[in-house]
Order: sequence, then structure tokens, then C-alpha cells
Amino acid sequence: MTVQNIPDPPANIVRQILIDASVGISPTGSSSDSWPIYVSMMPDQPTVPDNVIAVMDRVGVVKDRSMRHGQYIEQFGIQILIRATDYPTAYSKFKVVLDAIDTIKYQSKVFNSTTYQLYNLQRTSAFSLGQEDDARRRQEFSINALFSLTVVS
Amino acid sequence: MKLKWSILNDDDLKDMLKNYDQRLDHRLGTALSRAGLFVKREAQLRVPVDTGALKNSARTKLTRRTKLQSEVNISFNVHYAVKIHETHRWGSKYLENAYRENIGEIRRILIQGMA
Repeated sequence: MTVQNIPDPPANIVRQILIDASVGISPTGSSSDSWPIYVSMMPDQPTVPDNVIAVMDRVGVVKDRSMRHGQYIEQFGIQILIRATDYPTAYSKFKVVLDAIDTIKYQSKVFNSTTYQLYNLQRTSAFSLGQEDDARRRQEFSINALFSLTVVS
Repeated sequence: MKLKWSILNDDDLKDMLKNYDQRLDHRLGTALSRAGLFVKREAQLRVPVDTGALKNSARTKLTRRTKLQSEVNISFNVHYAVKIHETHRWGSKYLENAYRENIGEIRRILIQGMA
């Protein structure tokens, strides 16, 4: 069984999609209101704002097969974590992220000089994780999804 | 939080279900039970352990129904189970990965159990 490989981590591509949709910004030089989007980690240093988004790569599933190439297409596991100082802020950003990922449809996207064909981003679950245990009592939400895409060129 | 996988997505299993009789319900229940125990064991291998409470809280529950509607639930029953599952630095997704990384083996257990 041949599975098509992609050169970029899917989490990076999802982050770029969220940045393009003005959901957040790249982490360098961010202030607390601007929602930096990290990939593969949710940092907790004093210099990092409370309001952050993190996109993680997770285990995916291999389900679909390309009729043209005979290759199997992996649906990449994606997790998006949202952290904020209070519940209403976290919830409103959670809804904004859901709206942004729901707009992903059959379309081309260029990322790092590679053209990808995006198929869809299928949500598998989205829910509140409640408060963090420490004194800051920040709120967290989690969104899990399967992301289908292939390399065009 | 619920992860769902339907065997109706699987062509080989679907072919088996075409010749439905009541004994198939019984065999499906037994096969599901075996598959559930397998996923539970795999999840217990992946779960982060501090006191062992989370690891020991794993349960499987088989709900037998007629007309091939049986289901098996695998759960971890401490209040921080979901939090660890979603946010732990190295041990997150212990249940989801146990299922996703073993879909082939789960399928084999189901087909063998129903044959």
C-alpha cells in the first residue's frame, strides 16, 4: 500500500489557513490580544500571552484511494487547542476557529512553494476542557479533525 | 467525548453481514467484545502513569442488540481523563491512538470473530 507523502506538516498548513482567515497571527512579536498560533506546542512561559491557539499533528487514518494514481490518501489527524483568560473569550475564539475550518473546501493552496489540493477538514469532536488547575484558571477548548489533502506540484 | 467507528465502512465486513441470521448477532457481540478489550489494553500501554488511577479506570462495556446494532464502549473513568487525553505533553491521545494505530488488527479481530 503506497501512501502519498506531503513535504510540509499538515499542522503548519492549517496554521497558515487560520492566519489567512485572520483568526490569529504568527507567534513572533505578538501582543496578548493578537492570538499567536503555535504549531506542535502550547508554550507556558511568562513571555507568552494567555490567549493562544496551538495546532498539533495527530495520528491520522488511511481510508481513501486515488483513482488516478492508485495511491492511498491519508487523512491527517489535526488537533487545535485554544487557551484564554476567561470562558467567554475562549468560547468566542473557539467559534471563530470552527467557522474558519468549516470554510475549507475543495481548493488549491500554495504553501512553501508547494501546491496542495485541499479536500476537506472533517471535524471529529470539539469541546471545552474546562479550567486549568493552576491559580490562573485559564480556559481551554479542543477541536479534533481529519484533514485531507494531496500534493499537486 | 465519543470516538465512533462503524464497520459499515468496511466492504469485507459488509459482505459478511449480507447473510444475516440471529447467530451473527451473537458472534458480532463476541467479536466486538474482543476488539474492545484489545483497544483497552493498547490504550493502557499508552496512558501516562503517575499513581496508576487513570490506567486502572479503563473499562469496556458491550451493549448487545439485535439486527447487528451491538456496540462496545471503551472508557477511562477519572475526572481528568479527558484533560490528559487532549493536553498531556507526551501521552495525549492514548485512546484515540490505540484505535487509529490498530485499525487493521481491529478489523482482523472482527472478521475472525464473525467468520
